[in-house]
Amino acid sequence: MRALDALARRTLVARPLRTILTIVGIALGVGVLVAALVLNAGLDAAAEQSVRDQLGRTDLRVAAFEERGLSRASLAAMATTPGVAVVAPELERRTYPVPDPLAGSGLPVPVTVIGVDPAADAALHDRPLASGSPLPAGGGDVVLVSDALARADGLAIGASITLNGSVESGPRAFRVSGILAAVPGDPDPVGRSILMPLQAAQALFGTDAVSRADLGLTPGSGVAAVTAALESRLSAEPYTLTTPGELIADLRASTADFRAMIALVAAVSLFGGAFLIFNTLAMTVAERAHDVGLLRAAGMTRRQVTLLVLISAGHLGVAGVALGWRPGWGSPLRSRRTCRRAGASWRSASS
Amino acid sequence: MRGISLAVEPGEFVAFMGPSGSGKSTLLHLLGGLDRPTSGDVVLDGALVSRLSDDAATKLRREKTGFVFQFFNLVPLLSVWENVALPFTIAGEDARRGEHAAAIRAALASVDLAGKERNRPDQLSAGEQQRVALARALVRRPALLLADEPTGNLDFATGTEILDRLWRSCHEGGQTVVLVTHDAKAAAYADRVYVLRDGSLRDEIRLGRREDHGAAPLIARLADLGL
Repeated sequence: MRALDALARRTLVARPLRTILTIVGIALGVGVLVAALVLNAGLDAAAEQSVRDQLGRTDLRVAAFEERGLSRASLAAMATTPGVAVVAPELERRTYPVPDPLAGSGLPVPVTVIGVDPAADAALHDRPLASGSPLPAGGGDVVLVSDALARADGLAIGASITLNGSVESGPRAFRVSGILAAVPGDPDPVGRSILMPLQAAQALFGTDAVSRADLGLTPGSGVAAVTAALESRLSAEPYTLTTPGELIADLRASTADFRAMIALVAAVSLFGGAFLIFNTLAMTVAERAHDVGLLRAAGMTRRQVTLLVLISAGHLGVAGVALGWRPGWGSPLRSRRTCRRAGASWRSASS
Repeated sequence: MRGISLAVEPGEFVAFMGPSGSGKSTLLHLLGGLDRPTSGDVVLDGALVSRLSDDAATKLRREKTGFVFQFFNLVPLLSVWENVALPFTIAGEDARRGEHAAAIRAALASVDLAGKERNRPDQLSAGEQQRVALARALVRRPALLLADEPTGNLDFATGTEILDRLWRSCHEGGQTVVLVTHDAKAAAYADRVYVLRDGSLRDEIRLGRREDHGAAPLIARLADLGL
């Protein structure tokens, strides 16, 4: 076996350029294959993480189907549904901050405003602060800004930010009481989000409705039973009711075509690598036909000849895999930030 | 091959002559178990080579025969030492072991190639390459040496060296030699010469064991036969 291994190595070393090109070809195939597998796994993980970041400890999410949102009556119905322990309403809107007239004439960049009930929100979501203090339970014109927004717009604790609201209510000024830590789960695609008390957000946008409500269930309550109860009680406006599992499945389904294409690329790469090994060995065997005949005459069995070819293939394969797996593994990880952004976009899309 | 029936005794030197396509090499391959006859039997040292499984025939070939061909006699990737050691390494034996290493050294010395162990085949002359091939065939001291036109690619002096070495293996070492050649001077080393034509044995010429390898008696007998 050792002698066959040595002979196989010699055979490969005898044609260095062909061997190197084959190994590089295999490495490329393996790299693409590994990258595709890692990317697919990463997309799955990102989808799950994205939903987890967004929903926290939420068991059910009721989201308004139309722009007018969910009414107070609906929120009250949810709160009194058996099995519901926490109702955390949220109002989400996109708006523009009013630009500082002294700070140049650049176009303002939009922000995502989330109005929350501070007490209920804390029960279901973790929103760690980088600095400052959390939203007061009683409301008020204070906001928490994301780390990205604070850096981009130069907002510090105590700074004032004026946001455009509805036509009726007009712009309103808010004081920054805290800066959110930079953690995954920012609802804004580029991290420019503002968290404020629900009443303040409703006053800013001139509505008493909410965009959605996250529900926490009492221990022992079944999701199916609570879902059925909610469906029988919520009739004021159209809504969608989803569990974290359904959201994850939706996100995964939204990338199914992309992942299928990636899998196809991986399969083609695998075939390419196998073809390269086959081609190289076929050429080597053809070139070495006389050597093989000589080895047979000297007492080498057919099995040993086959083993010799397979060992050569093994060397090529192992070298190609060793060379190709690391870049293939690393490239999707390097683009993890992109995946996170993709995750943020999914969050925006799903909410 | 058709209607061939012959026996080669241990320690005998037999040559097969005939024109191209007469079946000389095919007969040699049948004797060595490289090919199988469609009918009939080949018996080597009591074993029915033609009826053995491929693995068993290969094992028998490895243990009891040594081949020398006209071309492609060496594996170009391997050194002289490694080429001579092939019968051991193929058998899974350690060629660096004492007795095997000694056998390799002795085989190389017997063909005057001591000191060239590390050379590659492409660093050797044609004659030296053929001597390495002969050393490889001899290294396990097989009972039967099969040589297919071993001098066909060599000049006269080198060819004579190879034939002398084969004859010594037979005469002094007691090994059986079967030589295929179209050259009467090479065939003249044999005790018996078979003439083949169109796959059949045409004649048998008995020369007997001679220290003098002059080809004149053989050429005269061939002339008598109109060859």
